[in-house]
Amino acid sequence: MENVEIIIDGVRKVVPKRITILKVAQELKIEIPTLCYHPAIEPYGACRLCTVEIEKNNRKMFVTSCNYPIENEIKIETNNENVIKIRKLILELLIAKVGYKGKVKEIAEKYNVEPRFGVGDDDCILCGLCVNVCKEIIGVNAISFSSRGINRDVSPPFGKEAVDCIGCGACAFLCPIGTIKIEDLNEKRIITKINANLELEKCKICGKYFVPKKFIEYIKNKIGNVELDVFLICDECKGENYIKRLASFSLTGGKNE
Amino acid sequence: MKKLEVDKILEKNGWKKNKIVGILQDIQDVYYYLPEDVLIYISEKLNIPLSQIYSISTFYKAFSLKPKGKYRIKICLGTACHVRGGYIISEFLKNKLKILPGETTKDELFSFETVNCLGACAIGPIVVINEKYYGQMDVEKTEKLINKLK
Repeated sequence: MENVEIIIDGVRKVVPKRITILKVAQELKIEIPTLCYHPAIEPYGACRLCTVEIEKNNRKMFVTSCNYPIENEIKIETNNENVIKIRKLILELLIAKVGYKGKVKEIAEKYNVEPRFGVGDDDCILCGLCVNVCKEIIGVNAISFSSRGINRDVSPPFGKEAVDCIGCGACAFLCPIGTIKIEDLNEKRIITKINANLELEKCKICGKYFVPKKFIEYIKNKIGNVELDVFLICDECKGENYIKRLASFSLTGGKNE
Repeated sequence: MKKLEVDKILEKNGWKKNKIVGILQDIQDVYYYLPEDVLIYISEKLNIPLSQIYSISTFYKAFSLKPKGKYRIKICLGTACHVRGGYIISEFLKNKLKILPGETTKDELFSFETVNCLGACAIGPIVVINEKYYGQMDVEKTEKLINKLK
């Protein structure tokens, strides 16, 4: 693979071509705040918090480090005065939209942000993590962005119940401000914000409802004829029983026996 | 929903996923809005996630998910029409029909929306009713027109 030499925060470094600035920074333990980035998901560049300043051909510019592939020799400043000023402004705008919630609160406190534009109470920063994890990782596409401009929102089709949702909960796990929540009540799972309502299956050992039926069905369809009992044991019942159960499937095809 | 009609549109667009915007435009030409059952049908036929079709349908202002009236009124609020009183006509219609732009009257007779320019600024303010253009409009003329249609 081709390499390029860059200078990042004054340090010379040779990196593989087309690697993103954020990945280089993370390897060097340089902290860059992110809201819409997740290593398993294609960089989306929506939150702009990972903005850094680069110098290319003697010209300076701001780029989002998560989706900027390094093509040639550049100089990168990840934490200078200009960058911090921009990040503070972005945080102020985020607070104006959703107020102090989750990761926004965490990062805003780190940057000592004093919001000039008020404190809002919306429930979504439109980072796209939920939409993109559902599309790229789960492959279900239960939710999407709707409308645009000030009306842009995350929503299931027609704003009704998310009929395609399998209840895996990946969106709730990734939501940086905790808007999407999983609420399990006996045999029902409700996922807030995306408006999903699912039937749960019981744990084979303790009998507690814990996993959506549709999720099990989905896995079954995707990976073929697998004995599904293995998925039907709740976290608390895993452990010794779980290993025994797994062993009974001889997943290695008997090679290690 | 007439499946044959929708199938014809899909056929015309080669049953291709990447023609989705064109397909939605053709659907809207037939129904004047995008009916939910048609979108579900297209999603199944072309194997496009319904959430993505919904996303596209709500992104473009030209698409509507709400049914339109028998008479679909457009009022131009482009710069030229606006300064010549297009805004006054739109306010008048709001009161007369008791609906907001983008809505349809209860009797499903009228729906009206505001648009940003129709490219005929010389004859502004313009009111369009079901593809027919009426130039140099004012409140009086608009009222007459509406009363005639009622």
